[in-house]
This record gives sequence, C-alpha cells and structure tokens, in this order.
Amino acid sequence: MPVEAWLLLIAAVGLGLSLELAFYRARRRERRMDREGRPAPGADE
Amino acid sequence: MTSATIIGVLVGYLAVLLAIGFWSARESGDMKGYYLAGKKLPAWVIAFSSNATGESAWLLLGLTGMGYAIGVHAFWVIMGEVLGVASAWVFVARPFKELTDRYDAITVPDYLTERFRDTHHVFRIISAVVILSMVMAYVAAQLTASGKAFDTFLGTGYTAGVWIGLAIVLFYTTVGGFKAVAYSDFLQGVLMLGCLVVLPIVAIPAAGGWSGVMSALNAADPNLLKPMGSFGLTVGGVASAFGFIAIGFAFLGSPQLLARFMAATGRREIEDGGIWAVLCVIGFDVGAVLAGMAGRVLVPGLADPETILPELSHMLFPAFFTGIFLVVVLAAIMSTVDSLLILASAVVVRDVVQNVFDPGADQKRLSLLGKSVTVVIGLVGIYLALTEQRMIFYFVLFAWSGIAAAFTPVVLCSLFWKRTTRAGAIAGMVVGFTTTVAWVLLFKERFWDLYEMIPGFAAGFAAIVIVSLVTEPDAEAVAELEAARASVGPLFRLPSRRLP
Repeated sequence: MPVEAWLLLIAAVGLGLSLELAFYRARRRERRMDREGRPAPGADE
Repeated sequence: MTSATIIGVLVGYLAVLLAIGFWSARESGDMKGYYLAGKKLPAWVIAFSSNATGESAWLLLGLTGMGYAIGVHAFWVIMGEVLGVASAWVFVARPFKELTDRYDAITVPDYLTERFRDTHHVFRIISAVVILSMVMAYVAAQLTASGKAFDTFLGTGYTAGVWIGLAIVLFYTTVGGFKAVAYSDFLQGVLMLGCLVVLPIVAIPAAGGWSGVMSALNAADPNLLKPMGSFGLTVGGVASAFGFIAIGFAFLGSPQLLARFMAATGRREIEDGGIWAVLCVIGFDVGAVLAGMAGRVLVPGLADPETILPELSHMLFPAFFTGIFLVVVLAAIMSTVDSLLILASAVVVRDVVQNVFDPGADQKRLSLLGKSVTVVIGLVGIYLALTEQRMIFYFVLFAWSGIAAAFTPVVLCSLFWKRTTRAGAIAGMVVGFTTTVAWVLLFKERFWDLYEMIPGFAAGFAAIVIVSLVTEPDAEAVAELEAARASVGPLFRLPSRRLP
C-alpha cells in the first residue's frame, strides 16, 4: 500500500484513539491520586 | 450450506434475545425503567450498544461494499467515525449526563425543554415531528432488509421474513424495555465486532496475503490505493472525503445515541466506556473496509458491491459460520430497529402524552402506553415495508442525516455556548433539518454530491448563532449550565506549577 494510504489509515485510527487514550489516562491518574489522598494535579492547594 | 445448521444457529440466537427480554422485564414497570433501564447501565453495555445502534446493516453491507468499490478512499469514513465516537465520549457525554441527571430528563426533548425553559412545549412538538417521520422510514427500511435476509438465507419469502424480524424485536423491546434493547445491542455489537475482525483475517491470506491483495488491487485499478480515489485532488474529491468524515458527526448528537449516556449509572461509567466504544468502532470500520478490499480480489466483478459480505462468508467459511454471518446481519438490523422503536415510543408517550396532554398520568399506565405505542409504530413500519418501498427509499436518503442535523448542532450549542437562547435553539433545529432535506432534494447532484449532513450542520449552527445573538438567554438556565460544567470539571487537568 502506498505511503500516503498508510498515513491516511494511521491518521484515521490515531486521531480519535489518541484523544480517547489521553482522556482515559488523565482520569485514571486523577482517581489514583484521589485514592492515595493526594490532591489531583492542578487542584487548589 | 445446510439449512438445518443455519436454522440451528438462528434459533439459538433468537432464544437468547427472548431470554434477555424476560430477564429485563422487571425494570420496565415505570417510565424511567422502560425508557432508560432505570439509569443503571454499566460502561461496557453503553459502549457496545451505542455503536451497534449507530451502525445498522449499513456497516456490514454498505461499508464492506465501499471497501470493495473505492478501496483506500473509504478510510475517510473510518476517520470520521472514530473521531465522532471519541469526541462524543470525551466532550459531550459527561456534561450531557450531568445536566440530564439534574433535570431528571428521560428523553432528549426533555433535556432541551428544561435547558431552555420551554414552557410552550415547542421542542417536544418539533422533536416528535422529526423523530416520528424519520424513524418510521428508517424502521421500515430495516424491516425490508430483514425480510430480504430471511428470504435469502432461509427461503421464508419476503413477507414472512419481515414479520418474523419485527415479531422478535417487538417481543423483547416491549417486554424488557430499554434494558433489553441495550443488553441485546451489546450482544449484537459483540457479534458484529467478532465478524468484522475475523473476516479480513481470513480473507486477506486467502487473497494472497497483504502484498498480494495490494498488487492485485493496483493491477485492477490504481485509484483503489489512492486516498482521494478516482477523484484525485479536486473539489469533488475533497467534497467526497469531507462527506465521508461527516458520517461520524451524527455520533455527537443523535438522540438514539445520547439515550445511552442518559442511561449510564453515573459519570464513572461514561469515563470508562469511551475507550471500549472507540476500540469497538475501530474494529468495526477497519475490519469492514479491509474485508471489502480483500473481497475485490477474491470475488472480482460483482454487480452489487454490497453483496460482498455474504459472498465472502459463502466462499471462506463452513455452513455453521454462514449461519453466524446471517445472525450478524440480523443483529445489525435488529440493534437499530429496537432503539428507534423505543426512541419513537418515548417521544410520543413521554414528550407528547405525558408532558403536553396528561402531566398527572400514572407511571404504570404510561409504561403500558409506551409498550402499546412501540407495537403500533412497529406495525406502521411493517405496513410501509410491505406496501410503500419506493417511499421508504426516498425517506431513508435523509433519515440518518435529518435526525442528526436537527439535534446535533442544538445539543452541542446547549452544552458549550452559554449564550444559546431558546429561540436560537428552535431556529437551529428547524433550519438544520429542513436544510438537510432540501439539500438532498434540490442541490446535492449539482454540488459534487456533497453529503447533506455538512450543509445541514452548517445551516443549523448558523441559525442558532444568528438568532441567539439577537435574543437574550435565560439567566437562571445559564447559571445552571455553568454550575453543571463546573461540577464536571475540565477535560484534562494540567500539573500545577509550584513556586520554588
């Protein structure tokens, strides 16, 4: 498959997936910090 | 292929659907139970069921056919759908869930009525007109597909196939309500995903492996491997690519999909479900397009590219799996029909009967009425499927995009632009919907076949902004929106910078 077709496929899958993954990881990090009793990043101190 | 094997698989599948109906029956005694499963759905159910509802038989027959007919150009559809699903879960779902819980909303018109303090029921009436007109046609079209599927695989005859399909859906939908719809959609989504992941894994090696498929496609038509297809980098090509991306916009605001977010147990389910939904839609779409591309090598010269999936199942799999593929096609049809039936029933009973005519009605009586209306809408769908096929085809051209263009711009502005007013939102719904219909009927052919959802959305957003800027929003509604958004919090919290 030509390079431009690969790039389109990677962009087609990667744009939405990376948005969701970034969100998912941020939420998990927040929950972990909540469990450990530490303030979430960016929370008022 | 033996009919006994296929019938065995089919009967097993239908028995599971009926069991789901009985299992869910306890939840369907009141309005919230019947229309939102008591707001108790887990993350994985809302993830798979929203995708199964959003895709219909088009995914299995239409998108595989696109992979067959246009090859790599169909990757733009994948981009639109993956982005649409991810954006819906990341941006829309949490504030929408928060506000609908605060308003105790059961339907999207419920939400719009409360959000814009609409005491005259204008949102409910417009929603009822849009949803009923589009849903009837869409249900009838799906029943037509059901009749053809039963007839093709089992020789039941078209009419009997239509009745069998509707009878099964009506049973579990009326007995089990939205809980049965959501759990059966989950099962159907898993089946569709399994089929679309397995199909290219088997078809590509059978067609000579990855490089063999690409060489054969290049030899058949080099445009099959070009991102802009046979259009090249022209206005028509760009319009086609944007049109494919726009298919995914509907995931951001169609009421049958937003109902899943309302039915989630809580915000945590929304946060956890998104990753499942995105992985599921990637499996759906990449599998469908690659299966179609491999199918072009294995079965060249098909008169109708949309028959490639049944052709591949006959060619590559034993009879048992052919039965599974029939079940998967039926699953795609049923997962759309059940959700649309319950959506239409909700708009009639909750939005029109309860809120406009009889606010004091008893919950059990309303739930019973909801079940009766579900049956009546199904029967109207079957009447259309058996007598008005030409009219169905006409309406289905803009059914998916018409519902999306009526609701999505309004829902997005209601969540993210506090300056949106009631008049602006009403204008947006009417203009978005009518522009979509007008585009299909009058302009589409003359403007590069541009997908109607693009002008529908553009006109809907423009109407909301223009009318909202010359009217005043309700101060109490704005304060409530700000409170809800503050409660949801930001999308991503950046690490705080500490002073040394």
